[in-house]
Amino acid sequence: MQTHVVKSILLALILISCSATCLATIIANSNVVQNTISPSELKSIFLGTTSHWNNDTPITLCIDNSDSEKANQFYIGILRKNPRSYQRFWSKKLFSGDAATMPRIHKSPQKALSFAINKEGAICYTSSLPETLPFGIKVIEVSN
Amino acid sequence: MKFSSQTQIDLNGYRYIKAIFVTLVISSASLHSYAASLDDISLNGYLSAEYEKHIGGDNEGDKNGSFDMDLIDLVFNIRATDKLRIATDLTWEHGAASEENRGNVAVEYAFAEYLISNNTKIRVGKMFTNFGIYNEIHTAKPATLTVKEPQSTNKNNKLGSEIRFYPRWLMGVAVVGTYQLSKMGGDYVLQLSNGESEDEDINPFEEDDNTHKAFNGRFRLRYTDAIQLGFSFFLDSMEDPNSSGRIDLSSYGLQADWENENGTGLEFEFVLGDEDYSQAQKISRYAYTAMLYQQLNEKYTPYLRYEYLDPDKNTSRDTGTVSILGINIMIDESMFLKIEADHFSTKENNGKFNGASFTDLKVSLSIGF
Repeated sequence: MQTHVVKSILLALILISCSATCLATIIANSNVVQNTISPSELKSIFLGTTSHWNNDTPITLCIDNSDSEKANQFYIGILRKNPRSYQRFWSKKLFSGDAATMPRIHKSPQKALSFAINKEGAICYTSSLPETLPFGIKVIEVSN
Repeated sequence: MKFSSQTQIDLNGYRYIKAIFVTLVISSASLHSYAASLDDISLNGYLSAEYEKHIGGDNEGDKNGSFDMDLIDLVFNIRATDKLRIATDLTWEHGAASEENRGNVAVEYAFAEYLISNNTKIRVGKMFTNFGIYNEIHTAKPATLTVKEPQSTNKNNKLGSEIRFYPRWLMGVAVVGTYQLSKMGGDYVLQLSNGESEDEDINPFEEDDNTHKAFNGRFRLRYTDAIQLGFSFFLDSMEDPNSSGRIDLSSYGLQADWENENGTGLEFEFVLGDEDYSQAQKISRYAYTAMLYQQLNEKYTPYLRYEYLDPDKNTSRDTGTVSILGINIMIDESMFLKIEADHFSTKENNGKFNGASFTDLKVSLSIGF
């Protein structure tokens, strides 16, 4: 119980003191035109409100869930939804015909990197980046 | 010049091979033009199996207790081009077996969507009627907490109404899109369609039974991260199969849902409308549904829902209510067990249950993929 309280306080402190930049490491396929996006644009993309990039390429999403605590900070800090609500939210969008796919959830950063490299229009949240960025992806800066 | 029979065969063979070659070139060219690569096709879907048993009250519901192979749906999305998407949901319900005339096979939706911008997309095809919270996801059991969608607002003909507030599906064209107003976001849809037909001989997904087109729409506004508000409407005019007259159907809906980051949520929907018969008395009706739920942790989400329907405001003691207490248990990432008790209570003039009150146990296992 005490651990839970301490964790919640820490998370709250992080959310208060931290901008979106430190809550989210965002990578994208190198064909994605944008290099910088605002936190509200990031939210709009991961909630499916924005479904296409400016050059009309469809956006596909992935989330690296390998570090669940960091991923939770992304879910709650940026998207304002807990993981289960986020899943149900996207199930509704997909099965109603509103969206073409759901965000792909990966359990390792490598799989998220690989997804972003291979999928045109892909944008992913990842908990960690390799020292050298592989060819085919880029880091998207999240700033106002 | 004469050819030997062997030469004749060879020449025929040559022509034959040439014809095959030309055919292959033409077909490969057309394949190249039209085929979507596997990378552009996504397959999803869901499966739902249910068990239902009458557990108390008057003699209604399923006394025997039955397993139901509710449905399996396959959802295909095909990116024909960056701007063009084909989406379809194909369903096999209740263990469909056409040889035995059992169950149901249906196209839930099949439409083409063309992107103009993120704010504007055009759809053509068979679609769900975009109205309220549940209609577009009424079969998508992994997307809902409860076993069934609310009867009062979404399936009111099963709780005492003559006809539904709006049809399940439509064939026509639609404009859909999203918008951003300052920090608030939202979406809209407008649909123009054949509407519904009460004439069993007419397939409204193929032809209209009158010149009037149905028009409906929905506007949703995400007021804050936690609160979404919405307004829906449906307007149609159709032939009355019981007379030579017409039925003008009009329905209006309000919806609100709120959910905080801890998974405490509230859903509310209110629908009112008229069935205006040219050769019979107008029926005015209204309904609402409210649900409260709380995610206890990643696994368990108990819920409480109340539904109310007045099928005809001019008829006294015809109302129906449903009270539901249940729990949604996430067994695996996309596998849900739902267990609930549904208590139905109706007044003596209710067209469906004639005053019966009873309780059903409903259990379902739903899997999304």
